[in-house]
Amino acid sequence: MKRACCVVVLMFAFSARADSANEACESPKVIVPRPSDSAQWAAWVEQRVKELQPTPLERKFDQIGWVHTILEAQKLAKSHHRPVFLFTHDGRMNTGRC
Amino acid sequence: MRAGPLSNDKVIDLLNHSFVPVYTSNEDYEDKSPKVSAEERKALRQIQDECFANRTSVGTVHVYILNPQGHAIDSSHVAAVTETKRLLAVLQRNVDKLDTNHGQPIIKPERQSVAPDAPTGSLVLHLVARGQDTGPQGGSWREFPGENWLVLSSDQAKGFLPRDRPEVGAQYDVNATTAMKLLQYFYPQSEDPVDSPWTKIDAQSLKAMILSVRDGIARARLQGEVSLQRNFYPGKVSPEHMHATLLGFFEWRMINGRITSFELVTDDATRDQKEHYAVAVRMETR
Repeated sequence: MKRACCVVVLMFAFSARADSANEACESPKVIVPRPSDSAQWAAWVEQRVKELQPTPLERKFDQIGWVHTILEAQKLAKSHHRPVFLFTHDGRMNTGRC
Repeated sequence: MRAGPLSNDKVIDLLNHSFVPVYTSNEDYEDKSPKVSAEERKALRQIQDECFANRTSVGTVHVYILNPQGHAIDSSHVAAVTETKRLLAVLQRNVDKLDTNHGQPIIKPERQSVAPDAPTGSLVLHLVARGQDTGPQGGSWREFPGENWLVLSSDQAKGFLPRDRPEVGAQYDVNATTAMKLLQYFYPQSEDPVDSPWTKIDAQSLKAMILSVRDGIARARLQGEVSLQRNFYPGKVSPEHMHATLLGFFEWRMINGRITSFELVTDDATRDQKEHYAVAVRMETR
């Protein structure tokens, strides 16, 4: 079931590329050769660590004011007279290990 | 979802100003070992039961809309809303239908990937893993990098240090258990949301060489490599083989052995000998 869902998700994800592409920015390079001079290695490591971090675009969903639990969301919905948007998923959307 | 509609300005605006947004991880609600309260699990079950009763869709990877009284009134399978315009339509039709309040975000937006609480003296490391073509062009589970927050106890962190008094030029092996705590996460993004249990390290090596000892601070260079395998798909034998060479630097206070800086990156990393990826680790400072 889960596999089938993922395949469908993938199909939709590809069809949705036009939306995503509008917001695309260049991703950090995965391959950047290490300098041959070992005196430059420390600076290279420092630079690589910096450039491999998630970009602001990759963290854009941080701009949403997420509530932490369903119960808290229901409580706030009632007191603020707003609907709840609930997204349930496998893995950890915040760290991307899914 | 995260890199698609949930990164779209219009969706963000609607969620912040017209909804109470929440996301949940199914692993936290599992029957076997739930990480949330019984009440919280009951709330999710109730929402799903209401959708069954309403004859709207129900699933594990799903979007549900609740009215201000907390009852389910709409739902969509994720596949139906990964396209931004489709999710926007779902959100807008419910806003229009409910005629609810609009206003400022109820919760102040904040970074969602944050360091966990850790005991004093522990070493908190942040790992970022990036497969080739990470971004919208990477599709589905490679649209953004993977992250891990690793907490090493004070004793585990000392495994990076030499047993003897540090002397410039001295070389030693980092404690294998300590190295494994870190290296088992040196893989690119995959569909399997479960981390280390499915990972098998075939070979690892992490050596340190002391570069300087000055003003009570010692500095060392790390070099090594790791070969590991793990399943791409959750719960299914689908092993991928990773190999990476590593380079890094760290410093520690000699008086107490406390690490004060730590950076480690892949020099060259490949998955199944063909596809490149990169991993970066740095210490989280508080």
